[in-house]
Amino acid sequence: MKRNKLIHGNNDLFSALGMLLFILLVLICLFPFLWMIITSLKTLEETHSIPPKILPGSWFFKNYNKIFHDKFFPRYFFNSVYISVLITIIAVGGSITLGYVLAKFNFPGKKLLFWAILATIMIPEEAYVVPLYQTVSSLKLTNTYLGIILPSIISSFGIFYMKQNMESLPNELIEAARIDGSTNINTFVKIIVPLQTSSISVLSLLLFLIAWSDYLWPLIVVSKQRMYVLEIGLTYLQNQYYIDWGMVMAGCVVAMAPVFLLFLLARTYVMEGVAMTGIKG
Amino acid sequence: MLKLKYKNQNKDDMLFVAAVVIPITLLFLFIRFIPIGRSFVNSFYQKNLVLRTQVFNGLDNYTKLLRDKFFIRSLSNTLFVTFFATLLSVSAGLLLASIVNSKQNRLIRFGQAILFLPVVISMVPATLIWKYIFDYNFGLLNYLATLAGMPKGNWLNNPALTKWAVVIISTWKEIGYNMMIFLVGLKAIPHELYESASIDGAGKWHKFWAITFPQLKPVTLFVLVVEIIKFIKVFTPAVVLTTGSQSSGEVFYTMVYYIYQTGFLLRQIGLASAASVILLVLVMLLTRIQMIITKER
Repeated sequence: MKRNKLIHGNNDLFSALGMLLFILLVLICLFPFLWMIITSLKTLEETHSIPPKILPGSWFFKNYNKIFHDKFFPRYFFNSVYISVLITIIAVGGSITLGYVLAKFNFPGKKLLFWAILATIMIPEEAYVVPLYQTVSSLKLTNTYLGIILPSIISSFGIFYMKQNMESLPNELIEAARIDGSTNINTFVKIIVPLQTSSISVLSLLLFLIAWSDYLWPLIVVSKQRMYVLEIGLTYLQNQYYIDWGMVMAGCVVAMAPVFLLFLLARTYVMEGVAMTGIKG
Repeated sequence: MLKLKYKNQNKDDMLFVAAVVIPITLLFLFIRFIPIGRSFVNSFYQKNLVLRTQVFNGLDNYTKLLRDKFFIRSLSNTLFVTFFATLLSVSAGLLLASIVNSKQNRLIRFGQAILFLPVVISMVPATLIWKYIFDYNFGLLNYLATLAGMPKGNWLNNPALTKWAVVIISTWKEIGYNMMIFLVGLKAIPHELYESASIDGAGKWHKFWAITFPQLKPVTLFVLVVEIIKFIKVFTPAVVLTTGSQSSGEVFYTMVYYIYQTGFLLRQIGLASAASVILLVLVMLLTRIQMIITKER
């Protein structure tokens, strides 16, 4: 308390105004989410009424009903989950193994490989989507799960991040296991991975969130509706002649739910992951 | 740092390393290095995505871009969004961070989590929520405008307003991130600096300009570059806001949108690749700056 006084002086009015501003900005930030949830509970007439109704007339769950009984929406949800989970598992697997090898082993071309990986961290996917599409389409992988996940199954950042973390592990640990006759795979699975659970969790959450929100690549590589992910499918909930906002917002709630849940359960991990990279979105 | 040396490496080591390095390196070549290289090569050809014909045309694609009014528009839109979204989200982040710094209670932690929520959610649903708020007939914003006696704004179909709609969404999505990075920066400032300033009788403002501001400069530069790199790739809000039903057909071009449209809808790969190369060079330059700043930190 005394420390705070030293920094901020005794200016109570100033800090009260500051708090007011903070609360105001938090409310502005929160409002779109509340509006989304409220709108998802409204009937079509209510979403199209002027003046807008602040609260729905009754608890109206038909929009969610519509979403879940939509011909394709459950499929979009499944596709998004399936693709994001696959990408996360494969990319994390690659990151921890190569990160470990780069941190603890020597092999010819190691420096070159590491610098090449580092260089690709900064190159945005947007700058090479065209050739990427040429490759995927020449392999006849458009409209397939493999085609959708292919560009994301290795993560340059993930490899870099895991290498940094693996370097802090003492060599004696690996040597000791070796003397005990443990094979490399055994050492890696039984000793190294368990020691890295928190960095692996941070990376997994980050890669899952990035995969979940990917929009450009699925837009390019998928044209069949049953292969759409949520990000694409949501935009198709807009009808040709009018927008049923209640239904669109219900779709948004469902699409955000897994992210909300992860954030709720593992806020510090998520924040750490996002802070490290600055990426996402 | 100690490394396991070659001489210690036995057959099991070699197998382990090879089993990890070879497949991942191949995959890297295949989905990173080769496509990136091809992006450069493509940019010197006149090439069609479907017909697969190609004619070498030197720098023609680049000169064509500079004469293409859609590219120029996409560039100016991108720079507009980048400038204002960066300015607004970074200053709001700094403001919020200085308000909540060193005051930690339940309310503030809750507020911080809320401010971080837009950062983690996906861009498409985020944009859709705002699209309803911006809607000409049923949107909340135009309703409030009419209440205040102002004319309704055509946020989704008038490019002069759409620019701002994209800025608002982008800013909203990034404030929480910037606040968090600034908080880390503020916490890293040694308290002794403030204490000795207090002994010298320095006031609040003086302390801010003499201590906080210069100490925070590297963090500020870092945040600025990170945000610029993010916003220069703006795409999703532009697409989601200006396409779909009720669209006048006038889309809001950004650089990535231009690449997408030229490459995949018009199928002119050469031209799209030239635009990609320009984007890539811009981002690489910015990243280089960021790395220099990070090293200074």
